[in-house]
Amino acid sequence: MVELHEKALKMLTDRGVDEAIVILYETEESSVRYANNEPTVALSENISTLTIYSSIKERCFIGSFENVTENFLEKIVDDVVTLTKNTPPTPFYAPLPRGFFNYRVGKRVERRIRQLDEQLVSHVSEAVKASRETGAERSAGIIYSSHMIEKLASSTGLSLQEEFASLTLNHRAFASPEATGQWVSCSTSLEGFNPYEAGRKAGEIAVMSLNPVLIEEGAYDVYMGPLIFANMMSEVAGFASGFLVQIEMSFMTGKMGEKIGSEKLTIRDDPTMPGGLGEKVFDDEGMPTQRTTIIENGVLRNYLHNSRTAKIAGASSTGNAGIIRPHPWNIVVEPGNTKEEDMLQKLGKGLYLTNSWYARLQNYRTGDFSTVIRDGAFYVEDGEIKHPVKGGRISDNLQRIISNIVELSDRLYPIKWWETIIPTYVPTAIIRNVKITKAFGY
Amino acid sequence: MEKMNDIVELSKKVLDYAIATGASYAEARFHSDSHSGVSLRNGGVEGVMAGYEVGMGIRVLVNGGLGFASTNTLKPETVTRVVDKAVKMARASSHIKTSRICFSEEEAYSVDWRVSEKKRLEDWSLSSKIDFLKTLDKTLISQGVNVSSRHIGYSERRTERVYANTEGALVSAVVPRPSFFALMTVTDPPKGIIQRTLQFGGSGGVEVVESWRLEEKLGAEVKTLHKMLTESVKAPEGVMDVVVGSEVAGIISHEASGHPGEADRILGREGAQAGESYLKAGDLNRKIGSEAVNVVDDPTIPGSYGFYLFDDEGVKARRKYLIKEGKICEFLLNRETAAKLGVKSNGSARASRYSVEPIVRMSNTFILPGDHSVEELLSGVAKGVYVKSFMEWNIDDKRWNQRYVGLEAYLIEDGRITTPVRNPVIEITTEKLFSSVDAVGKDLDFVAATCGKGDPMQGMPVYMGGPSLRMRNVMIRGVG
Repeated sequence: MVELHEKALKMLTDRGVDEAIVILYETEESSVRYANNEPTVALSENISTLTIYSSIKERCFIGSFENVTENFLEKIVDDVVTLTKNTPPTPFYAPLPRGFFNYRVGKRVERRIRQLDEQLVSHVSEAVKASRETGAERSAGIIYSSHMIEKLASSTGLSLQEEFASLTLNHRAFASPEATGQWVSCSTSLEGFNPYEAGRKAGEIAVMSLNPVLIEEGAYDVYMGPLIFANMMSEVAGFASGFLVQIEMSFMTGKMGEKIGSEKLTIRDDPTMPGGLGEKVFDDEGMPTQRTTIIENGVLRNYLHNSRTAKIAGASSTGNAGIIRPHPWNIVVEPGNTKEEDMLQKLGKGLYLTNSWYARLQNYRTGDFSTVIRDGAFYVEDGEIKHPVKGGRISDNLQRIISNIVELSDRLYPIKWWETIIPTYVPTAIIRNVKITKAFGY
Repeated sequence: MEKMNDIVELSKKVLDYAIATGASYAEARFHSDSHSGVSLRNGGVEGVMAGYEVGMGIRVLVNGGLGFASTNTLKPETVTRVVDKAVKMARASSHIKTSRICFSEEEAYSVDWRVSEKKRLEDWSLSSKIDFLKTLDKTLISQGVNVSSRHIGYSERRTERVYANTEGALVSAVVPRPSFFALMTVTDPPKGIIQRTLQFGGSGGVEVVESWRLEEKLGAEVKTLHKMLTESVKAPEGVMDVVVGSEVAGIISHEASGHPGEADRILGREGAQAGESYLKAGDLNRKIGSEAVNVVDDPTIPGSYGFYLFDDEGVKARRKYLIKEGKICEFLLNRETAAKLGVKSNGSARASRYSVEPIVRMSNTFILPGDHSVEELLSGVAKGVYVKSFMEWNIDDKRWNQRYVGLEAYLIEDGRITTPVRNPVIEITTEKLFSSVDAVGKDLDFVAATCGKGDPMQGMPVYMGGPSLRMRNVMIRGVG
């Protein structure tokens, strides 16, 4: 039986398009949101989406369509061909990649994740229970089980299929309205998923945060836990997109080969990581994905490219398409040598921050930004937590932040949640001389 | 494309089936979005984009548990399987609940509403849109300023909804929304680089796009950026009077009044993501600012980006006073939060697409205008700063601790705007901010934005607005 995406591809090429890629995504996702220790809503979606890229004489169309029936497909293809013809040629056009590609084989997918539904509710109970055991009175969060099949067919002769499954839990515990802790559990396997541990960690941070003192402004050495460091590093790696670099919406624009960070810092996009949350075999152009070093020992080594941005840059695709906008799949920060339990001692005096949110930039080229400190934040002296603090904000510069990394721990945490959308693997980190501000009027 | 009668018929089957399988309440929301767009990068067309998202979201109450399921395969046998899933999940979650979710009692409307287009978007040809963007791009590069990067785009979205519930409500709606964005980088070595992002949006036809006067605004914006880059001096620091423009007043109304006034946050339902609120359920009538401060949320403003007449629970929309004369007046409510607080919904439930549940959202949130001209506001300031626009901003998840970094900003000296200043920072608590307002302008204006909330994330079209505001004795600092 010819599948929908293959049928669409044939119709497009029959109608005279020069190039086409059609991808069919079949998504099943279940989730349970909870607050005040109880489920607030259980959600599920069952969705299929057809995306189409077509080109005729360097005129390009990109689109996505749902509820595609046989009759509707005829209309879609007619519309796509008409729109493609009526568009002027784009100066950013690049031919689709051609060649004999070697794709990684042997990706393992935990299909049992599809069947969890009601079990998600019991995972919520585990996480809530764990937080309560630490003394945190309330919990809120969301648990997702996701399964997707992606099928790609292209006019360049590709016919590819990939499957994905993951479990993610984002849990926040409240020991008081201003004493909160957050933790996540993210995994592509049932064995690696640990809602109880996420609930316990979040609860412990929340209880440690009771009775916070208003933060003093100034420059601090900061120990960043996995959540806040992942928020920062996903932001940084995202700016390696060739698209953002080329439209000057990145502090990495014009800095290839330059030292932009600490020698301690190496960041890669690694969709080849077995069992990685963002493991990916091929990109939206059908290119095999690859492990790409973005920053190596502080030096900017590579941007992330699709065919379009690669052509403009005189480079090769790195297998990160997005047709318009290349992006990382699975960000990995290389760990350091310091044991995590020694990190506070290495910090000596400063702040231990566990989470942040709302990073916003004043200027994408310079990297000037601020982000609000959220959840557990602690003042540290002599390597020991002295007291929790509240009301702070990191108001600094992204390049300065990555230049001032002095220590990375030896363990990687997988992070994916509301603030870190692209899966990011990070150690914990010590960063010197981070500017902290607070609001007027406290 | 789906036929209206078929959708209503399918919805009825869904509702009957949900009740038969154990739901005490059910609703079915058909929601389709057809959209298209085209963008230019440094004058070159990137390509044309289009798409069609369509499906049905079904929400059920079972034993006090709430379930929501969606599909975009609109066949009866598929949709009933989705109902089964919603019921199963709602039942499972009810087993560990100690309290039962219920909805406020509301009138069941049967109504069809739609936004009219004086000049239909579908009659505006692709080539005309591209010509329109090319003209704007030429405007950007003909101001005698080095705009080293230009990324502009136009898009339009036509949303059709049919909402039905087991209480007899049947509400259908059609809303066309055009929108425009611009990212601009102005470079002038050795002074450096300055950037600006802009968004416009509204509901209606091509006449809405024309009302934005983009050519005039983009040309002026580029010149302003260059002036700020080349002429601005270090921002003064210290406690002083500040006048903020409409754009800054708009984000203040949205972040410091609108979000914390969302009842789901107040009751903890967004605790792990968007966060909670500095407001508690008993905070109605709490003083939060000066008597000059009045904030409303009003979905019924014709042509607005956040326009609607009935919300995604079938409740009639109306203007809500969030802050009245400096006091907390009303929360934004959906049926679930209204029931918890023992009141009626005020029609604030919105869902960004068929596959997500309706949650409490803003529409068009703004500070009400006063009777001062901008000149009058300035004339009362001996030494201060005028912050007309901003780039960087953020606020904590209780909506108390916020920061706005000025982009177009000037010194105020003896009641007059004088020297441009670089990136003055207003970092202030909500109560201090609203309490510092002593006079409000009459120059009400709006900015279109896409508000983010929920998990899964829902981007929602809104207006943020207000007039110029004068604040007394506010701490101003520079960046760096």
